[in-house]
Amino acid sequence: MRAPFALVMAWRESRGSRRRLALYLGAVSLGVAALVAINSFRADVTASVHAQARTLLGADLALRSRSPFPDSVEAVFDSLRASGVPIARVTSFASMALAVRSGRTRLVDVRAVTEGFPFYGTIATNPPALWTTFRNGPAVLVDPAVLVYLEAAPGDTVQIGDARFVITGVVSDAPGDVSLWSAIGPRVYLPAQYLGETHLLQFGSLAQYRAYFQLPDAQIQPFLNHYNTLLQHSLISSETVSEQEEDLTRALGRLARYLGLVGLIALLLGGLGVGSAVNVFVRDKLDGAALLRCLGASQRTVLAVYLLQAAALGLIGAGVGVLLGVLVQAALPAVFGEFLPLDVSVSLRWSTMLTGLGIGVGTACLFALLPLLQLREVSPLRVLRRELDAGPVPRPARWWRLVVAAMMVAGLVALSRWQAPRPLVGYAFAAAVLVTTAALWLTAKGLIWATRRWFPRRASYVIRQGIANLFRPQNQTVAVMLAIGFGVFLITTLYVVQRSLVAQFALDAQPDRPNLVFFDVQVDEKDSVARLLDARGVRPLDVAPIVPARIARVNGRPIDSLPSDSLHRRSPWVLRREYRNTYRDTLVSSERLTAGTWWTAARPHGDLPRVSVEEDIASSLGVGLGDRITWNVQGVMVETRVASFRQVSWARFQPNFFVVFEPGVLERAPQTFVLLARTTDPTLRAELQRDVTLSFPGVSSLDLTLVQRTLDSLIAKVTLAIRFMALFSIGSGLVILIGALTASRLQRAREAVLLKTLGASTRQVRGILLTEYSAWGSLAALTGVVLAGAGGWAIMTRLFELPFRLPVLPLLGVWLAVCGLVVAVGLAHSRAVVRGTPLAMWRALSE
Amino acid sequence: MIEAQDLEQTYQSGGRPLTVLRQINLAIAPGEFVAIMGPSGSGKTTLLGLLAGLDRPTRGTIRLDGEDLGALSEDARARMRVEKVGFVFQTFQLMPTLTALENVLVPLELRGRAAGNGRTAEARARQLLERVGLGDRMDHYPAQLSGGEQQRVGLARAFAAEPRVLLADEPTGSLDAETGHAVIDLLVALNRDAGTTLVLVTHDPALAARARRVIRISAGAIVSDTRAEPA
Repeated sequence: MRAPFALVMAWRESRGSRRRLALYLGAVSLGVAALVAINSFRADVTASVHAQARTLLGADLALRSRSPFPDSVEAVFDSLRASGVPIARVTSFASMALAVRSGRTRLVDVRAVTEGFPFYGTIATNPPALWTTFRNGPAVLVDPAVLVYLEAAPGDTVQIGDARFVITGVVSDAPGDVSLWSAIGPRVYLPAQYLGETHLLQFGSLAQYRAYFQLPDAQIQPFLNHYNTLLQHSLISSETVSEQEEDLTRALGRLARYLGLVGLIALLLGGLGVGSAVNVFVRDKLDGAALLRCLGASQRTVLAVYLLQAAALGLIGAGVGVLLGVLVQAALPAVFGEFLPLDVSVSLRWSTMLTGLGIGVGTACLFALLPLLQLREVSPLRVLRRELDAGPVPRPARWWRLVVAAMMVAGLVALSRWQAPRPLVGYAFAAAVLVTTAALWLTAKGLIWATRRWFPRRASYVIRQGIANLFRPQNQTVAVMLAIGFGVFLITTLYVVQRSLVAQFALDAQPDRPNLVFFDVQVDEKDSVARLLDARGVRPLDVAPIVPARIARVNGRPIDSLPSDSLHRRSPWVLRREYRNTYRDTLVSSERLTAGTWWTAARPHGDLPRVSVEEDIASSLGVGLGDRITWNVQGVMVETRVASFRQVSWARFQPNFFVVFEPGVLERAPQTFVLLARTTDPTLRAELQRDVTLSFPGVSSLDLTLVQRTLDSLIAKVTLAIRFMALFSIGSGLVILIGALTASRLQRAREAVLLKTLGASTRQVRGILLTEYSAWGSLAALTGVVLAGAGGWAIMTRLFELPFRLPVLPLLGVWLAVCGLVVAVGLAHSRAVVRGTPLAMWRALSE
Repeated sequence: MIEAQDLEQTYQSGGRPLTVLRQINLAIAPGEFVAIMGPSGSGKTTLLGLLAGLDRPTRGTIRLDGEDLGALSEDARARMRVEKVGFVFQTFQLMPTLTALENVLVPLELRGRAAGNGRTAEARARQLLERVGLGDRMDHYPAQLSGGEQQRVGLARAFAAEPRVLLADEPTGSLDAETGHAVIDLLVALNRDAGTTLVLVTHDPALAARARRVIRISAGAIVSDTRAEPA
């Protein structure tokens, strides 16, 4: 009988407060919307990847190599081709493209393709259907960006290496395309049969060789198993459709899950809003609860009556959130489009929607429970001994509160664990939320304490009254500071980090940084290129030799015998990759010695040549100081000893190296050079690139300010995606602000009408409200901004290991904006309080 | 001091006009002590509000200290109150965020910087709190005071700005009989010292009996206006 009674009572009891509690719905809605949107989107991505996997790879199997396929592998290809397996090739490398008419140059991603590629999916061109025919002559298809950079149009001639091609059209859509990449390396597709005429693939160039196969699924694994040893030895990696699908699903899923964590914060803030709204609600319900107890209801029934109301409202709020989430889900492909290599089709995800509903109700109940416990403790005697003012709120038993607090923490951990890409990330996230909340709470408390401590006693009455209002009984100042502060903290930290990163890449502001780089410079070209620059008044800042080499042995053991070594879990890539090493006698500004000694003294006779290894790659290689590494330098074995470890700041635009040799070892080895220069004149930079390209077609050059701009926009896009999710927290914060304003509206109205009765003018009443809201906004914004400064500093110096500078003016702007927002919302919310005659208001209040 | 002519007040209630007061004519001389009596809903509180200029009457005129309240704007009427009117409420109506002393200071501070911030203002507030017997509770917040103590703070506040007129709405309505008597003794004594015009709304006959003049209202109209002979 008990449950139905509680249910009926819950419904009847809610009559008076339904509308007021509607606001508390909004608190969970936004959080649920964020989670439903991002998790449905994740499911959409997974489904789309599955549907498009074959198209994304363009074939059933792809083989990839950093060097031309050796004859032994080519022989395998020949026999496959003889048995009727279609094979296509794509060779890609970076090179300069020069538009003959405009004289503009740009580093591009050249892709030499043979007939047949891709076997699945189509590459759309403009004018249409050019993909199959453009290969018939010396023509190229380009990314639209190439035309912009080169100031060229279809029909123009472009020079790549020693060969000239006609631009016949642009590639408007290619499967597997991440449009963001085209800003970094815009593509130029040319027929593979003309690749030789460019004379570009010479010593030291970085190129990727790919072979694509059309094979029945059943033959793929046997093929790979059969040639496993050959492929491994030739450093050829393979990619199948299912692997591609798995990789993409994992990568994009992880991205979505991380963004989901940001959305989770909005939900938690919503929970906070629920707690704070219910706290006020409870004060109004104490008498009702006492009456129920008086009439014979048990403690449990009383709690059930009110908890059911919370659950029902949570259900409605979560329902609204789910609907909102579905709307947002439809918008997400547009927000994240530039990161996605495929078209995502949106569909309704019932399980995600149901989960969102459950999470919303759970969050609402859990956060409502703590304040509702007070109702459980209400003494029935309260009905008879009713004091005039609501009287003290009973404190629930300590262990009850502990149980609920433990449930809340458990809920947080479980939710984070469920949303996070890895359990560890989930736990770390939950811990970070707890720590941040604690820090925000402490900051809020500290600011309130400081306000009371340094209360402006000599200020005018209006200001003193406004500030005193922050401390009115049952005030929600701390809740609002926490909620708004969290949102401000998230958005501002992002902004601070973005700003610091962008400042880090701002080359023009740093006079010693190179902004023009020439690479693939051959030994016999080095001096000529330097002279060419010199003639225009630009002196190379640095010339770094690059000597390609592979590791042959570590401590005398051939690398083939090393991966089985169970002590060091080395990745085969670290052992087998081609290293591009350099030699020099000094450290450069972007690196720092962390262990061992630099070669200041000459090498004792008979000792091995010394190398300095970057610390992360050293740990992946599993080598320590004093260990021996034998290098295969274009067929010559050079045994070296690890003399030191370095920490390298990769974020600097400088040629950085994993391995540096001491001078006197590699000078005679085959090598290429990188030349660095600086001139602030962009026209001169463009002209130098053009002149060098004309004289030395094999030399590539890059205007680093272009890279800088690309990085800036990349950072802007990444932060935009995170900010989009963080906006939900700001929304939750605003709902909580409005909830707090609504909760105190009656009190505020009473105070206003009292002051008016005592003779206060409209201006004075408005001034008091303005002061109160400004103080509220100031403190809330300050809470977030202070922590954002600390968070930004921690991320920049600890995570990115880059210098940090506090952007004072923008933070001030954030502070002002939040203040303005809170004041605007507050004043809009209290129009009725300021207006109206006192008598009418007294009548309204007494009703 | 206060003059009302042909006063009528009508409210919209549930879409229909509801006349709360009709045909009210009265004149209160300076220094008079008047009690307004009547059953619940008879309109006595509305009358008190209109006398204080808390709203404009639907019809008729009110003069306070010679000034026509109907001709004044909302803010000008507020100015009028802060200069000339003191209030005591049934439910005390103290600002919860201010201490007893700060609550007493509010009318002085509303007058402006000179009146509110001066040392004399604070000295006066302290003196008034001493007078009502709360000298040791000046820094307590309303929540820390009993009902009787809160109403004594209310009295001190009402007299703080030395008003010409004091309006009290059921000042003992929320207090037990004993405390109520003590509060009324204090009110009468303060009034005698200051020579204020006192208008009191009540339905407590014992309290009304202490007034020199009793106006009875029923259903929005004055039904009797009697003066007690000076004792």
